[in-house]
Formats: sequence, C-alpha cells, structure tokens
Amino acid sequence: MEEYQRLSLIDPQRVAKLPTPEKLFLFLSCTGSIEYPGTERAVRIVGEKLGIEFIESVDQTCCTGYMLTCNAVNPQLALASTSRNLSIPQEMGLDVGVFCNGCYGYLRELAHLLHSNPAFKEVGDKANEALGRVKYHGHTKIYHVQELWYRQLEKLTSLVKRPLTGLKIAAHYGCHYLANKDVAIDDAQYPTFHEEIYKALGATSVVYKERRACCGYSVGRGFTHREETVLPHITNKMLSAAAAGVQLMTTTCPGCNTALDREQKTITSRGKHVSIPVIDLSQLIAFALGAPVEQLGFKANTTPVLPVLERFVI
Amino acid sequence: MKREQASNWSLEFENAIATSGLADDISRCISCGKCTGVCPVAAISPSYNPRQIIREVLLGNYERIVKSEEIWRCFWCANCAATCPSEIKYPLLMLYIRYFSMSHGAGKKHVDPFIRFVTKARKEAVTFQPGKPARLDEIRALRSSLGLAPLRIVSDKGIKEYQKLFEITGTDEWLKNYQETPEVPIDLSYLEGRILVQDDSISGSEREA
Repeated sequence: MEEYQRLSLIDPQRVAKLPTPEKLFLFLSCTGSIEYPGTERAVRIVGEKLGIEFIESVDQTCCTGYMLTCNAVNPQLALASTSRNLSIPQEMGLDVGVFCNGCYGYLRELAHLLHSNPAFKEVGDKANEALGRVKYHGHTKIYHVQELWYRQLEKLTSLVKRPLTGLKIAAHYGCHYLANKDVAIDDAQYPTFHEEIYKALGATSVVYKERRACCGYSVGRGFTHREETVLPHITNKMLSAAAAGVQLMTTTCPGCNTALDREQKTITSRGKHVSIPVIDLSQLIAFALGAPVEQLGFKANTTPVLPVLERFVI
Repeated sequence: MKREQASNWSLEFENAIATSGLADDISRCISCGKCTGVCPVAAISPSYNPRQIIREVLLGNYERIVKSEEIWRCFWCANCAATCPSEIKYPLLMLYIRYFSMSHGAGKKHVDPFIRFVTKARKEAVTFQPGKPARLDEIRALRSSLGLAPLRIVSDKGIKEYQKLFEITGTDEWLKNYQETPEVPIDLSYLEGRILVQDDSISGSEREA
C-alpha cells in the first residue's frame, strides 16, 4: 500500500502551546509496570535524549480509573485518589507526564469532574485533609508523553541513529487520548501525528481499514464480553492490518498493547493466522534513537518483535 | 419475560442523572445517531444502540434500562463522546446507568469479576499485580534486567493512605452493600433495536415479524 498521504488535521496552535520541560513527574501505570516494563524504560530513554528528566514517587498509587469504570468501586474513591495522586506532583511543583492512555483519560476526566462540581471537589479536599496532605488546586498540567515527543519532532528526527527504512508501521492510537477533544493535538476520527513520527524515523506508514477501531479491553469488557464482542472485534482489526501488509504496530497505552499483542495467539489458534508485533510508540522511538535492544523489554511481548527489528541493529 | 409496565416509567430518571454530576445535560441529544455510527460495539452487536439508550433515558423508561443486558456492552472507547455534536459524554452516562442498574440488584454478573481486583488493589495500591509466584518471578527478572525496581511497589505510607481513602470515601461500606444485595436476573434484551420478548410460546419467525 502507498504511504499515508492525507490532509493533516493536527492543530499547530495546540502543538506550539505544549511545553518542552526539563523535569516532569512520571505517572506510573499498573498495566505498564506489569505487562510491558520496557515501555517505562523507553519513556525514560527518549526523555533523556530530549533533555527531559522524569521524577517518580513511590507514594503514587493506581489511578483507580479501571476499577471505577468497571463499576467495581464508588466514584468517590476514584475522585479522592485522583486528588491525592495529583497532590504529589503539585507538592514537587511539577507537571505530570503519563504514558498510558487509560491513566491519562481517567486523570483528566476525574480532575475535570473535581473542578467542575463543588460536591466532588469537597470529596477530594476532605480526603487530602484527612491524610494530612495539601489540597489539590488543579493547576498541575497533565500531558501524555506522545504529544511531548511530537512537540519535539525536529529534534527527534536529528537524533535518529537507526533509520527504519522500508519498515511498514501502522498506528493504533487508542481512544482515551484522542477523546479529550478540548486538548488533544489531533482530530479524534482522522489522526495523523503518529504517521508523521514514523516518517521522521525513516519508516513507511500504512493505513488499514480498522485503524481507528479501539482495542476492546477497556472497562473490563475483555473479561465480561470476550467471546461475544471483544474477540470478533480484535480479529477484524488485526486481520485488516495484516491485509494491508503491516509489519509492526504501535500503541500509546499498555492496556491496548496487552489486548492487541496477547490476543493474536487466540486468534491464530482459532484458525486465522495473524502475527504482527505490537509495541509502544516510545519503544519504537527509543529503538530508532539507538537504545540497546535488550533495554527495551521486548521479551514481554507474546508476538515476537525482534524478527522485524533485528535487521536494523548494526 | 414481559414487556415493561406503564408504571415503571419515571421522569425522575433523567433528574437523577442530572444531579449525579457525572453525565452532562443529555436533553441536548438531537438523535442524530453519530454515536451509533462510530460505535465499535454496535458494529458487532446491532442490538446495542447508544442513540436508543439515550432516547429511553429521556423518555424515562428506566425499567428497560435497569433490566437491560445491552447497557453492559459498552467498551468505553469514548468515540461517541469525541464525535457528539451536542457534547454529551455518553461513557459517563453509561457509568451512571450501570450504577443505577446495580442499585436495583441487576448486572452483578458483569461487576463480580472485578471485585477481586479491588480487594487486591486495596492491599497493594496497584491493580493487576499477579498472584502466581512463577509469573511474579518472570516480571522481577525482566524489570531488573531493565534497571527498574524488581516490582512496582507503592510505599507503606502510600498503601496506608490508599486504604484510608477506602474508609473515608465510604468505599468499604459500598462494597459491603454491593456484596449483600441479592442479584436480580436481567430479563430484557433488544433484538436489532427492538425488545426481544423471551417467551417460548412465540416462535422465532413470529418474533422476527
């Protein structure tokens, strides 16, 4: 298939407004830490190359968004833990960098609810007070690292050590970044900024029919509706990618990565062969910038990654 | 399995949603159907129809909603919210509807699988940490080889504070109530946008007619 050529709907003003920080609070993702620890490492590697230092805190807990959206806890717990978690970077005077679309979407939405509804704000404030913490004021900004990488695309391009010439890459954007249409830098239905990043890394971007289809795993439907909805959905998506000749797919969410990578084994075992390695966008960038392969944690992947990447390792 | 009764309709349903503070004013819905057009679940299960669900809510037909199998299908991809010209946050509406359904004892089979995650998260302040020692060893080995802490561990202080949140936000109580509420079986589901009457005396062809 030909390289992706279409009108870009990226909002240059929003991109220009993004910071190029020297220090950021790294909000850790539970799924990321457990399923694909290489992502966390890759975020630090790319950050280092761009001059961003990431600070984490052992006091940061789960964002609680997954349990909330599975209706397994009451909304007050999620509001209070958001308020508590965000008070940590606030105390450090840092903005937040997130590498999981789930954490990003939940933090943003819950922070919005905290500040648009006085009753919710009180839940958060009371919680912080009871814990002896300062109130969360809401000035802390929350960024997804993918937008910060795009913000410094020129610098990234100049740092490429392993041009990915000829590699056919396709994007899985994931939903919970783009759905924030008040802040997201690209259009929710026709995003193109990942394709621009692939191009900067020397690769070929591929469009496939189900490109904007979600991973099907959020709010636990992977547990409750796996057979009837989630598997048919992921099968459609991955087969349409295979038909378009995709050699590698990137995500910006460890949850999506788990769904699209791990479920390929099931799809194949049911007679529809598909084998497309799925890695995080930050892992891809770190690889192209010359990070040692063993530092990127590809061992965690179910669908082997090295067969498509090893030819670029000199 | 019966159709809903007139007495089970209530205009207070919409008010309850408005005061929940979760979903915005859904009366702005213009029934354009863009939500349904972009919905990945509707593409696979045509009986699931976000436009219809909003309509039912606005009409006050809470019985249909509470007892419906359909409301548990949403993936929460939020594509509907991203495309809605009336800026309705449908996933948050769905979140509320599911709580509402649970308060009537329905839908527990779709929530039960996650209670074990909550129980574990309450202990560790991290979700999804596996329990099997072999899997934990695998994760430790990989993380250590990447120069990361062997496991993502929240500090004792963090865990204590997280547990305290469960107390002060009423979550412990909420969970206890949830577990004590008896399950009401769901007995309504839609067929291609229409209610499927699960009555064995009606043959399949009549039902389709």
